[in-house]
Amino acid sequence: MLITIIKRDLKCVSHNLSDAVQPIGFFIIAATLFPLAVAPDPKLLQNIAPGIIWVSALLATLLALDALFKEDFVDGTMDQMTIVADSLYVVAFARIVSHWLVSGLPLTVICLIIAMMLHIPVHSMDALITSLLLGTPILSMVGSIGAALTVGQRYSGMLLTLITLPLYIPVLIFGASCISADLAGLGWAAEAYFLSAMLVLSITLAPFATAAALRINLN
Amino acid sequence: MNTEQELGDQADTERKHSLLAVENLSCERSEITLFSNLSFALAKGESMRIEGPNGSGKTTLLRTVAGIHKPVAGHVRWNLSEPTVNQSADKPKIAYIGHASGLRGELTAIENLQFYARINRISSGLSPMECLESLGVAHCSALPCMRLSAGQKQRVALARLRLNQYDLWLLDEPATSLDDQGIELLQKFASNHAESGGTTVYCSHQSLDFGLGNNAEIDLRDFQDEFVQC
Repeated sequence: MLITIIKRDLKCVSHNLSDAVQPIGFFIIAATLFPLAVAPDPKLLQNIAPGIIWVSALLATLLALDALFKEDFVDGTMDQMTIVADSLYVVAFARIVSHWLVSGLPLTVICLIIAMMLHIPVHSMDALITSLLLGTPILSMVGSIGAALTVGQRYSGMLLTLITLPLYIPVLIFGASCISADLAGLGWAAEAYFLSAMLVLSITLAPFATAAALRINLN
Repeated sequence: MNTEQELGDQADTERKHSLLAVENLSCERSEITLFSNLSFALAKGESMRIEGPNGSGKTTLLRTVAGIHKPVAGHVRWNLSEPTVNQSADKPKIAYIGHASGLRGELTAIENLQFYARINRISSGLSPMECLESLGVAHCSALPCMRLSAGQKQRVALARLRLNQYDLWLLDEPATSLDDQGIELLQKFASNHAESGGTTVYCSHQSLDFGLGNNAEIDLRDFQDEFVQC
């Protein structure tokens, strides 16, 4: 069931690429505009690069979040999945994984190019990749709770942002400081451990909360 | 107010074999009670029509039986097992056709049906393509569902009923936007379903002949506490 839903989501994405690349497009645009707006000084750019990357990544994830469960609710697929599935946990988990596959994962890959542009040295790439690989799934997990809570609302964008952004702050702080620490020549293990802990916590708890929120909205 | 309707008289004898028993069900939507103390039982091969004016809770009743909507009070029991939260092991295989088609617009008709075949873990029954053929929409199988007309979409949605040997069909206005030939097909499949021991609960403003004669009816107006505005 889990794999079937993920496969269907990816098929939907392949049929509708323009919508799916929106978060990635946003990420690239936002991150490339900074060097143009700020003075093109390598030292300065390197200092603010972690912040730019993480803020852009966070906003890009948020962009795709609103539609996470909305389509399934509007076209009746959620009703059908509720009847078949033993619990909504599987449905929630599958949608979260699909969300990460089309936002977090490509974002991490594209970030390598963005990082070059922001003068992040090659030896800091491992810190960058680790922080994004650990951090972006948390964004998808935590965001899904907000998306599930607001799925019944017609104009839910603002509400969704208000609910999720405060929960995103810790990820933002540890994610960005993971890269900054490495750039400053310090160890970044502590930040990575913190992100890992948050990831484990969100994988364990977020799908349950999301499933419960979906259940409320089905009534 | 009587708590057992129509079938209630024979309830005790029939309940032994009943597939579905609804007991003292009360449902509300947006904090308005739609109906309360609704009870009925259906055996295999029976069909029941739900009647009531717009907003009387026909859709809500169907969704409650399907386990999508949670009732305020009462139970939906399967095969006379213990009251369940709709997750018991002997829960029958349910097919639900609602107002929303359950078809993803970007995906083609055949991809949509394949998805349902997979999540239903189909072992027997027709292949998705055969289902589309039987409803006369095989030629649309490669079209994205958002390109289909309302009637075609409804036919693709109904094709889902043929994917598996379902024990219970829950049809919410199944004849919506179908042409005469489509309604005929629906009636034919519904009678076949009844003959092979399947149960159907449906609501429709058109009169549909689902065969086998033992059509029970239930009017939701009998279960309203007070005047309910829609």
